Amino acid sequence: MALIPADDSVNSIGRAESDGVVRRAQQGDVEAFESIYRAHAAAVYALCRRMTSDDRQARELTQDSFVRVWERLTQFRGQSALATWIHRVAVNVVLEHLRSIRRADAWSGADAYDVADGRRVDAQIHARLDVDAAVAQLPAGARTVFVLHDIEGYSHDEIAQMTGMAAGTARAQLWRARRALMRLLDL
Amino acid sequence: MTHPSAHLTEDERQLFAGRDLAAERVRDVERHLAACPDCAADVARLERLAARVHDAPTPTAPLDELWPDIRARIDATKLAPNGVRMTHSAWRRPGVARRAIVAAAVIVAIVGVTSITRLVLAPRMHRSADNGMPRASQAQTNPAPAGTPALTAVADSERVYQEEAQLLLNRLELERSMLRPETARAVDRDLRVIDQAIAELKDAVARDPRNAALHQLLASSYRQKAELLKRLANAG
Repeated sequence: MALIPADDSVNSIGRAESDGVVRRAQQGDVEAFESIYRAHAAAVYALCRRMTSDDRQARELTQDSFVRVWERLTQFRGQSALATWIHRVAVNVVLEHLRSIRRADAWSGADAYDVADGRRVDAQIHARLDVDAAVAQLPAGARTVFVLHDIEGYSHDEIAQMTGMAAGTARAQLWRARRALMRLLDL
Repeated sequence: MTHPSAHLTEDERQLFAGRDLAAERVRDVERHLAACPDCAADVARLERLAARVHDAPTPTAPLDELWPDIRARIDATKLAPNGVRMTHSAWRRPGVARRAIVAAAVIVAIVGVTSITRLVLAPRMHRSADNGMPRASQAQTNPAPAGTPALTAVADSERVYQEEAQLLLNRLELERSMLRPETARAVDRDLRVIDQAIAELKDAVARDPRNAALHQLLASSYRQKAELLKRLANAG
């Protein structure tokens, strides 16, 4: 169910890598790194925006992600696509951020159950919402799993590894998130 | 689905709708869906959700705005002393070590700012000493017509970083009580040196307002000051 990048994005990513900018950036060429940023920033921002549901945080985390990418670029060996590697770095940056700000209920299953049962939803939602607004209504843990699996295309095992949840817990969070979204979106 | 007449389980519905169901189970589930309107309707709703998510527009932001800060932070990491990599996580480590890294970065930045300032200003100082007869080539001063887009952009950048530095200084003032006295004294001393370098550059810009290189250097100095203050604030 992962979203597919727009053609322009794919083309610019391909250009950036085929031109050898990765190697130049690894050698400290900031202009080359800027072209990598321009090729991948939209996807990273979209990830950050969906995982946090907050534009300001998403911008900051996009910046943090690319600073992290710069710092670790020499570790990129080309064993995966650069887009995949950058994406994984960004996911880790966002997850660290979410862990640092998580509230007591942020990752709990109980919160997700509340949404799934509609006890909060009825009070919050009076009309159809767009997808992003609905995703923003999810508790952080359910939102994280939903975005990583249904939008970004990670497997349950990968999500479990990244978040530290048991795979079964991650899957249960996803089911609850989908049920809550169906209610929020009036499907 | 333990019995042919029983409804599909939640796992089966979700996995089928998400195209994640094991291949050997797909045919059984499809057969059940063909015969069970309730399960078929539920799976159809899950599939509609997947379609809505797939078709949702990707969130966008004016990403050009984000690059200057990233560039500034990258430039700041380049100022790190040998063997001290100022990684993201390093700034989040609590305690004295982080403050030591901050202090080291401040000192390295000071060396950078003052050295560059002297390099740029040196030819101009020689010219003053020679009663206006220039020694440095014109190429070194890189003149630009006043009001050109490039010069205007640099001036805007200079103003933005100047304002940001002032905000961060105000924040630092509020948090001063949390610094150890010797750290506060060291920060004050280092900021004075940076400010002195900035003052020299401002003086040079006042004398040669069409010199784009001087404007860029001044903006860069403000940016470095803002970045270092930001790091100090984040370390607190």
